[in-house]
Amino acid sequence: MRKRMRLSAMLLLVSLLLTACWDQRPIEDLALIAGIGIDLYPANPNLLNFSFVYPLYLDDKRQGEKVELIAASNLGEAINMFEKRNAWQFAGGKVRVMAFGEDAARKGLAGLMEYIQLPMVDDNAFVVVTDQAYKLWEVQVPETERNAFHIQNMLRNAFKEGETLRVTVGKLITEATALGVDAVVPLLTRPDEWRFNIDGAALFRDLQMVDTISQDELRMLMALLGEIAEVSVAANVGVSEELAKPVVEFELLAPKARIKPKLEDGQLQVGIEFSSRCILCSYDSKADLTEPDVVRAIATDLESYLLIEMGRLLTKLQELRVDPLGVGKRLRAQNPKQFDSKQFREQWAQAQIELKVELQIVRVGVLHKNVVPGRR
Amino acid sequence: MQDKHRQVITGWQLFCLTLNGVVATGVFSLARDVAEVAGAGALVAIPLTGVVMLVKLVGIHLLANRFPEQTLNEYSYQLLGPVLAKVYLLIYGLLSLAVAISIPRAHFPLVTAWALGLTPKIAFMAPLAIVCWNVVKRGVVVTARVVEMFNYGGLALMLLLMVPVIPVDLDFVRPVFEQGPASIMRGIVPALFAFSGFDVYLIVFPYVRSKRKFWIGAAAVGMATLFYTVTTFLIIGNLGLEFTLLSTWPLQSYLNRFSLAVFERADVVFLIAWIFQVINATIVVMFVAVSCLQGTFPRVRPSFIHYLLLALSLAGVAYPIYSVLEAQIMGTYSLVAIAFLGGTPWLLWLLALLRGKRGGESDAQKDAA
Amino acid sequence: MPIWKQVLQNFVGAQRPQVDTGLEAKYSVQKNLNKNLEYIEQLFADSADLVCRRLQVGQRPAALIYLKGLTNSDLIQRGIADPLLNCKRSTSLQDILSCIAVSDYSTMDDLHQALQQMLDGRVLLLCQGIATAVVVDVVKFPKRAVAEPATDAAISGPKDGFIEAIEDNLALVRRRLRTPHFKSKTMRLGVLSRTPVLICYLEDRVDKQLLAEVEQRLQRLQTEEDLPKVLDSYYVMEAISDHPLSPFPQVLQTERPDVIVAHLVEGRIGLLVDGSPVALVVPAAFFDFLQTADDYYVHPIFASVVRWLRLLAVFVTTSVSGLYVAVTTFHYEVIPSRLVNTVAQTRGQVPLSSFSEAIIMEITIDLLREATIRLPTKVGQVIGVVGALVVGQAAVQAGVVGPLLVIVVAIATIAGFAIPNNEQATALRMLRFPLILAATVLSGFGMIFVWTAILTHLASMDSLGEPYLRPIAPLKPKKLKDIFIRPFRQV
Repeated sequence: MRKRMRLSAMLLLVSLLLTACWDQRPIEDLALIAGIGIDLYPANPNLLNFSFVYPLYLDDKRQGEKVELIAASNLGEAINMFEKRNAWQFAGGKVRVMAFGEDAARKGLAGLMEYIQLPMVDDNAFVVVTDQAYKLWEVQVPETERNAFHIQNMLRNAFKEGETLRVTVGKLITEATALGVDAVVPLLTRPDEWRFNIDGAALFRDLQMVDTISQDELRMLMALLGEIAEVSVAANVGVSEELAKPVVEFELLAPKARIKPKLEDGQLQVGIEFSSRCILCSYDSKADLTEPDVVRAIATDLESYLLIEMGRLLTKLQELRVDPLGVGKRLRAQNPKQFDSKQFREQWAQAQIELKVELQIVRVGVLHKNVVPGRR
Repeated sequence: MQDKHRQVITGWQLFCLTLNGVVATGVFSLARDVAEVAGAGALVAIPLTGVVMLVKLVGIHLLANRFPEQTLNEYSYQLLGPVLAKVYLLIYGLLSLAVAISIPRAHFPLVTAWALGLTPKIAFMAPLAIVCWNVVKRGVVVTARVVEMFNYGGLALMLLLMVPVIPVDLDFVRPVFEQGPASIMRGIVPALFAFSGFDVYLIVFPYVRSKRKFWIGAAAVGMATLFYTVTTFLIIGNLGLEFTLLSTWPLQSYLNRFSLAVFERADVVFLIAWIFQVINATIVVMFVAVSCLQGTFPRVRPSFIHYLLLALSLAGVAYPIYSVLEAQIMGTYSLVAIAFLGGTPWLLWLLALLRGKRGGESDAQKDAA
Repeated sequence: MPIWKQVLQNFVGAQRPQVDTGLEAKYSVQKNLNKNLEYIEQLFADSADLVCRRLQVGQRPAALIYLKGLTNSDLIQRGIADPLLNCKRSTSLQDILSCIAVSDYSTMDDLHQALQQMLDGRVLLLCQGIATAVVVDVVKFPKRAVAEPATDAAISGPKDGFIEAIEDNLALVRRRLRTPHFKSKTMRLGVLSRTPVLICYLEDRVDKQLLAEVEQRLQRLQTEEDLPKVLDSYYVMEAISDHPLSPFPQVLQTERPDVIVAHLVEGRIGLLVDGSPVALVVPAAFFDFLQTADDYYVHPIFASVVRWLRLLAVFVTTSVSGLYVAVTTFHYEVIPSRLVNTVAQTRGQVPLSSFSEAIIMEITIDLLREATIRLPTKVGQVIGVVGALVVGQAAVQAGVVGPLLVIVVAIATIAGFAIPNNEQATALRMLRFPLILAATVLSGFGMIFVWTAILTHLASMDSLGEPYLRPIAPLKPKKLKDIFIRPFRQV
């Protein structure tokens, strides 16, 4: 009797296990979302306009791309509507790019936070801000059929070449939520119907986009952040007898900024010591770069150039009460009791900043030799 | 007595049993739970909890060492008398069983959120309970072997997790004393949940061959503490304190940030591989439960106890409770369990000391002889 | 006993024939030759190969009784018959024995025992008036020459392998162990076949308890009647395994004398069975089956790398098709971004689900394997090529299976061939199916549950008192090195 009971229990269990395969998501039935765009819905400011891009398989070789526009109040709702509308299941684990339209970003990420955290969305997806996110997917990129892939590759390469920051979903969330540091997100523009451009960055304050900075300012910011191995800068400085200042292109190698915030009687004092090694890539002048004195003079010129540019950027950041450098984070780390997240923004706006720049030219990439005519 | 408990367990196996009883599902939310109370002070609160656990281990060791040739099942009768001992062992067994049920139950929401959203609880938990029970019913030798076997994988996972592959922002972890020492002390309470489970030390003590049993147990507790501390350090350092608090499962969010060209979505892979560790911990705690139940009913056939355990654990994993209520129940219950399982060995030892009871020869005396 | 074990045993051991060899009881040799001969003829009536040759030794009538085909007739003529016929004095047994020109002989009073010897291929000499039988060893029977073992081949190292004759096999072992410590005890197994089995060991290294245990287990078979015949060492293997119902082999089989010797030196016990070219080694643990003789005939570094590869093969052959199913039906996230669209595209062209696709392909491959094993080599190769290339290619083109799955199944199959022991490879291969099923129902989690059950089974096994997963669980650090690496200096 006991044996029979045991056997029947086993059979019951086996049949239970085999009745259904609840969570099967066969890969062929998935819409593998490559890009998500988020805009404000023009007709109703309470709604967001989500654009999902996913590949379609046309035949053996070719893959197309489909864009789906859905207006909903949050991502979860958008996903539900997406699945109702399509035979495909929504699959967000392979998102490459998440683009925020400028209006949506200015309205704030707060509503988006809950679903950015969804386990299915890959934290490694790149984030950009652009004027109209859904229009990104309409650009006819000549070299590839798929825009999300293209944007991802473009951002990755630009990051490697020191042109822009690399911001993933995870980094954005951390910086947007952590006290004492604000997020900066690359800005993507669409100059015409055929290409994208990386053009500066969007500054965020407490999950809300407040302003943009230009590409040159972004470079200064990247140098101050020191997270990037190389920053390429072009500037009109240099020792020259010529009337116009020559164009210098140089790369900052492993830039480092030591930021030391100090709070004295409610007054924030920030000492920033910036130091970097530097390579001259191109120098448009007749000056003889084999002379050490000339190189030293150029270095001094570049230092003062950086001092001015960085100072300008810092002033702008202070005016905006935005702290992407993590001054507050450092203050909090060094002296947690002094740091008050509510008062910090005011303190930062009033802060006295002492900026020092030190450059060391380690290599002269290009020697400009004048070709004297008639020598031949 | 000597023959009855042939010393079949090696020191390494004791280490595995002790370590794997401790490290299970707790690691997924530990950083958040402790940081909620203590902020970045979690990094101090967790090692402190390790010290508290060491104190518990000392109690367990003193008690077990007083009766080196007997298991808890035998000397509790000598110390407490037949009725009280039965009650004590029954409570001990049921509490351990509850812990054994709560480990997979606590893991299930994670599995649901991350990989299997629609799978009914029973379909996932029943096989899990059955494979664990299948090990436990084969006795102490097989249990030790299986736990040891899985431990290699678990240990490898732990060591991998402790490698800082994603850069850590030290500024996030530095404000350790931001919220003051009192909150750090309060942070010990949620951390205790992640540390319970090495009561198996008390059960297998007479089976262990090694003489440095205490140090082995201490090493296991130390290893668990180190693991918890390092992962919390990495999580807070990478996610930032605020996002750690926002995140439901900070460990998964942390792993989600890691990506290699071939090995994407470390979070999903880890979640699946970690089931081995969940199984391991469940086996250890279930083993404690079955041993105590056998001690409670010494005349009942062992196979009956085994099937009783299976029925109880299946019912336990399948019983539907609302998740909020479940969290509440588990919160209170775990506190009771931790207090009982941690406190009673000390009390028993005190009782043994006062009554002057001592079972068999201690190791030191045997050496002298 | 669990119910499934009972059911299985009812299937396995349904028939239990009562056997009687007819030579069990003692039967003394009679002084009357004719009476003896009559008894023998009655016992061996209708035996075409029995030869009973009467001759006159001096004044005494005698008879030579032997089995044609098992004996060397030339030697019988020259060594026994001719000298006996020329024998002048035949007053006592000693006189007769001194005439025999073959050195290996013995005398016995029990006729049944003597007949038993005759059945092994010896010649029986019975004389009128002497109540003793003389047994002369002139065994010669058809056997093949020592050749390279087919299944246990090594690239380098010795090429000789065991054959079906136990004496030759023993000689092959003895040639490698020139020490008096090498012992070989004989036992007869199989009530009808009375197959000689040799228990070989090194006296100074073997664990005495282990030896006693082996002897006891074999002894038990000698008296029990459920082992009527031993046609191959596999019969013995099944009989002495601790867990005969487990699909995993617990006794190491080898055709190589050098392997046996290596194991004897490590203190294990070898079993040689007459009529089988396969010798047995006990005790054997899981990881012993992953080693080959070749490991010791190449550079240790290469051998170590190959051992790691074999461990990998164990994982690959069991789990890779299950992983394919789990990944394509549940965890698309873990596929690399650059691959995920390709996988989705190829899967989209296949009408079947991943599960059915994988099961069909696995069964096809197993069919191909089974088909080619028993075919002549040349035909087998053709079938292999046709199966692997043509069917695979055509199936992909026809859109029945995806190209990725063909790769996955092929890798799993190849990994299966990388496992040296055939029986273990088969056991591991069979595990694919539950793993695929578990992957279909509960994704990677299901696979881990199945693996847990498998590992529990392995951990609960013992091979003659040795844990089956030794030296991993329980950990034996000193023995560990012979699993993952091949040590430089051998013990």
